[in-house]
Amino acid sequence: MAREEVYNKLNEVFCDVFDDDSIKVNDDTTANDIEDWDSLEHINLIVAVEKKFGIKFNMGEVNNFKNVGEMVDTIIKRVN
Amino acid sequence: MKLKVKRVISSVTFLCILFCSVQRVSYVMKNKSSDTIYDTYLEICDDIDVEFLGASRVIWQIYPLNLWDDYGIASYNTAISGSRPQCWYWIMRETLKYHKPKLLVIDVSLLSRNEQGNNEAQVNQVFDAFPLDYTKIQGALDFNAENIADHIYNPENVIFNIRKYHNRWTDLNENDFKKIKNRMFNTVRPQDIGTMEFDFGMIDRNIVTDRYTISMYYLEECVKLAKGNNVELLLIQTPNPHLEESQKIYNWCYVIAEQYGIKYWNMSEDISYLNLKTDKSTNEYAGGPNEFSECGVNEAGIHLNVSGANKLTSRLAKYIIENYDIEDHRGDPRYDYWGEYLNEWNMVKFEELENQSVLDNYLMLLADNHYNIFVRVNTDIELTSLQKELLGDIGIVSERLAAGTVIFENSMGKEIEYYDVTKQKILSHGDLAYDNETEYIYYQDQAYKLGVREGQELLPDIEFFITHDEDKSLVNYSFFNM
Amino acid sequence: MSISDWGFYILVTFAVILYYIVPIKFRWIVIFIASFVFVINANGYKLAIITMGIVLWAYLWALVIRKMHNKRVMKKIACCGAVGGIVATLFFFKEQIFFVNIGNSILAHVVDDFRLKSYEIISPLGISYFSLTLISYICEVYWETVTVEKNPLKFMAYSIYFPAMTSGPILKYNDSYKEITNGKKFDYVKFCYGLQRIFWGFFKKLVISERLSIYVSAVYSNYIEYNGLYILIASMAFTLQLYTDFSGCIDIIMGISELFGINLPENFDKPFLAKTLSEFWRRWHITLGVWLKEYILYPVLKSEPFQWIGSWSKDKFGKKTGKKIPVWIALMISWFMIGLWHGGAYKYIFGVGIYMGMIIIMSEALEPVFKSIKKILGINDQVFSWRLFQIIRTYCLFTFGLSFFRAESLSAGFDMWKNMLGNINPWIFFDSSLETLGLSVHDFRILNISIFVMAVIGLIPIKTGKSVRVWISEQNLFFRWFVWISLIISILVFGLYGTGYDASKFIYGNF
Repeated sequence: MAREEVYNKLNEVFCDVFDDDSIKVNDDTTANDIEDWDSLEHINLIVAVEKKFGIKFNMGEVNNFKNVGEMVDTIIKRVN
Repeated sequence: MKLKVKRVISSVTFLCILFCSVQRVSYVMKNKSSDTIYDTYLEICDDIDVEFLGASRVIWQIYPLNLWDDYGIASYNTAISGSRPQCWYWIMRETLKYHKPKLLVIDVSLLSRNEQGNNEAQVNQVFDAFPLDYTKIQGALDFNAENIADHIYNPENVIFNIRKYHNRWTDLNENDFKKIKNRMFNTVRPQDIGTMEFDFGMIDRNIVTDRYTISMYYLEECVKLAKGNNVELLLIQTPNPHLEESQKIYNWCYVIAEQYGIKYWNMSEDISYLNLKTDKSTNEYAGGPNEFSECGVNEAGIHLNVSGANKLTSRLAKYIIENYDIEDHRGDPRYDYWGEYLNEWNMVKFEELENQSVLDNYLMLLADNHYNIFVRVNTDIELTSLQKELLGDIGIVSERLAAGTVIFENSMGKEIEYYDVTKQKILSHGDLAYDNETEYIYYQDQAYKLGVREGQELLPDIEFFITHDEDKSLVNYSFFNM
Repeated sequence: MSISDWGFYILVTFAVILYYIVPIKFRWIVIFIASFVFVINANGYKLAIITMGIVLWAYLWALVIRKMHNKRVMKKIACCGAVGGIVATLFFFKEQIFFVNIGNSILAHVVDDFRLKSYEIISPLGISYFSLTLISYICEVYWETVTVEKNPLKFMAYSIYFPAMTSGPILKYNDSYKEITNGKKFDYVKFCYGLQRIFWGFFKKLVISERLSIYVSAVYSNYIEYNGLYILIASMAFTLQLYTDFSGCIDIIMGISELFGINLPENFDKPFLAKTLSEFWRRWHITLGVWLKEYILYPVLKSEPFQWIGSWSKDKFGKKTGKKIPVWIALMISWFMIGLWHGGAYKYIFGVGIYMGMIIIMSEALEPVFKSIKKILGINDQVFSWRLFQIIRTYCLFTFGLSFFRAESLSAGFDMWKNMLGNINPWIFFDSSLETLGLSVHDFRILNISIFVMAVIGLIPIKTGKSVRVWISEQNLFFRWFVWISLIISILVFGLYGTGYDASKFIYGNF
C-alpha cells in the first residue's frame, strides 16, 4: 500500500475517533497537535487504526510512536 | 589545559572557603562548657606550674587563686565535674600537647566509682575546646557505649560536634562568638552549710583490692603518661567518708605510688583542720546499695564549702611547698597580669558577702585569712548552735558576743579583742574607730553610720564591717536581724 | 545502610573515585560492584540472595522469550510466567498481611477457630521499585522493542543500580540501560551539578521534611486532642512533608547519578503547579504513572474484553460517553493497583488509589456540568485568579487523599476528618498553640523561609526558561559561591539530623 493511500484512510479514522471532520494528519503530527488526543484516547485511536487496516500493533509499538509518521511506517510494514 | 587548571584552582579555593565557613559555624554552635574551662587555661598555660586534675572535688575545693594570693603558686584546675580516670587521661593527652607543668596533682576521688558515671556530655567537655586532630579522634574512639551512662555514645558527636550542637542556633549568646575568660580558674564556691553526719573511719592502708577495674587501668595510664612526659605527679584524695570496699580500691594508689616512685596523699587520714559541722556544703549524700557501682554500693560523699575549701587549699599548698620545688612568683614581672585575675577573684568574694542574706552562710564566708572583722551586736541576741560553731571557726567566742562589740584582727588565729560598749564610748583598733554615742564607724577618713539603711529604724541585731588586711580596702558592710 | 547513613556516602565516594580511575570500557563494573556491596549491606545475605534471584529470574526468562520469538503462544506463556513470578514475589513480601487479613475476615464468617497465619516479613530493599523495572524489561522483550542483554553482570548492574534501589525512579530499559552501563567521560560541569542537586535534596529533606514531620506526627497520633484546624494544617503539612522527603531523596539519587554522568528519568515536575488532579499525577511520581500507563492501563484497554465493553457502551450511551466507559473502568483498576502498590492496607488503596481515581473520573464525567456552572456564574477560566483557584483546589483534593496515607488506618482517617469538621478552632493561629506541638517559633520561621526559597527555586525555570543550576552557573562568582556555601551551612545548622533526630525514617524507602 502506498503512503498516500494510508494517509487517506488514516484521516478518516482520526476524524471519526475525535469527531472532527477537519483533521488532516501528516508525518510530523503528534498528540500535541490534536486537542482530544491524550494518553487515554490514544488506545481508542490505536484500536480504530487496527480495525481499519486489519492489522495488530503490539504494545511496545503503541507506547513508542513518536509521531504519526512512525505509525504509518509500522502500518505499511504490517500490511505488506 | 588552561580551563582545567582554572577549574582545579577554583574547586580547591571553594572547598577551602567552605571548610573555613563550616569550621567557624561549628565553633559558634558548640556548647561552650569545655571552652569555659580550657580557653583561659590555653591562654596562660605557659606560666602555670601546677595543674589540678580530677572531678568535682577539685573544682569545689581547690582554689588556684588562693594559692596565688597566699603563696604565689601559679596553678589551674583542669578538672571536669563527674569525670572518671578515662577522662583525666584524655585531658592529660590534650593539655600536655600545649604545656607540661612542673607538678600535676590528680585527685583520685571517683576512682572507686564505675565508669558508667561518665556520659557523652563529659566526653564532649574533655574534647570540645581543642581543635580536631588525631588525638581527638583517637580519644573519641577510645570511649565506647559500654562504659558510658545509659549506653548512649556517638563518637561522631565528639569528632564533628556540629552534629550534636547544630540546633543550638536558637540559644546563641555573646559567649558563643568569643574566647571565654574563666575568671574563677574553674572553681565553684558553694555558699551553704551541710548538716549531715559522716563516719570517716579508715581501714589499714595495706588492705588493697584484688580487682583491676577500667578506672584503675586509666589511672595507671595517667601515671605512665606523666612519667613519659617528665611531669612530676602527685596523687591525692580529698577528704571523703569512703566505704570499706572503696577504701580498698583507693589503697591501691599506695601500690602504684610506690611502683612508679610518686607520692599518694590520702587527705582523709587527717581532717583535724576541718570542722565538719561548718565546712561542708549541702552537696552531700549518704551511701546506699547500688548494683551498678564497682563495689556494689553508692558512695557517700561530701563537698566542702568556701570555708572548707579555703582550709583545704591552704593545707594542700603547704604540702606542695614542702615536697616539691615550686616557685613563689609574686613580684615576678612576668606574672604581673595575675594581679588582674586576683582582683577579679577578690571582687567575686566581696560580691558574695554583699549578696548573702543568710547569717549562717555569711558567717561561713568570713572564714578567710584576709578579712579583718568588726562585729557589733545588740545585747540580747540568741545564737543557734551552728552559728556559735561558725563564730568559733573564725575565732570568736560567742558567749562574749552578748555584751558588746568585737574587733577582730585576723580570722586564722591572730588577735581578737572584745569591747564592751557600755564601758567605753569610743573604741579604736588599728585603722578602725567606733563612736558609741553617734554610732558612727570611722575608717580611712570615711564615716559610716551603723544601722542606718533605707527603711531601717531600729538598730539591727548584728552588724559586720569587713576590711581587707593587705590593701586595707573595705570589703563588706552588712547587717542581719535574728 | 540507607540513604541517611554515613556508610552510603562513603560507598558513593569510593565508587565515584574508582569509576573515573578505571578505563571507560570497565566503568559499568564499578557500578556493579558498588550496587552489589550496597545490596548485601542493606539487606543481609538472605534478602540479598533473593534480590539477585529475582534479577536472574528476569534475565533468564528474557532470554527464553527471545528464543521463542517465533512461537506466539509459548512466548505469551513465558512472558506471563516471568511476570507472574515477579508479581507473586512482590505480593508475598508486601501484600501478604493484607490478604491474610482479608482471608481471615472471610473465614471469621465461616469457621470459628481456623485462621491464616501472617508473618512479619522484612522485604528486600527497594523491591517495589526494581520489580517494576524488571517487569518493564520483560514486557519490552516480549514486545520486541528492546534487545535482550546477554551479559548477566551488566544486566545486574542495571537492575540493582544502587541509587535507584532506595526509592526509584522506576527505570525503562530503552531510556536508562545505556545510561547506566555505558561508561561516561568525566564532565566537570555535570559533576558539579550533581553535587549541587545532592545538597538541594538534603536541604529539602533535612530542613523542611524532618521539621514538618514533628508537627504532623504530633497531630496524627493525637487527633482527638489536636482537633479542628490542627488537623487541616497537619494534613496540608504532610503533603509538603512527603513531597520534600520523596523529591529530596530523588534529588539525592539523581545527583549521585550525575556524579557518574548518568541521567535518570525525572520523577517530579513541579507538581504543585498542576491545575487538575489528573495533571498532578503526571507531575508526581512520574515514573510510576508512566509504568502504570504502559504496562497496565494500555494493555488492559487494548484487550478484547475492554474493546467489547467499549462497543457495548457506545451502543448504550452514545459515542461520546460510550467511549469513556472502558477508560474509566480501566482507570479505576489502575488506581486500585497504585493504591495497592503503596501498601496492603485499605487506607492506601483508598487514599492514594480509589479516591484519586474517583476524583479524576468524576471531574471528567462532570465536565459539562462545570462548564455550564462557569457560564452561569460568569467565571472566566483563562485568568490568573481561576488558575490560582485550580492550583489550590488540586492541592486540597490531593491532600485529602494523602491524609489517609499517613493515618493509622482508613477508619482512623475518617475519624480524624470528623474531628476536624466538628471543631473549627481558628484561635489556634493567634494564641501560640501551634508552638506547643514540638515546633518552636524559630522552627516555623525556618519553615516559612525554606518553603519560600523552594517556591522561588520552582519559579526560576519558568521565568528564565533555564534550569536553576544552569541559571546560577551563569551568575557571578561571588553570588554562586555564596549560594552554595549558604545552602551547605543551612543544611548543617538548620537540618534535623544527628542525635535525637531519626532521618532514616524516610517514608518511601519502605517500598
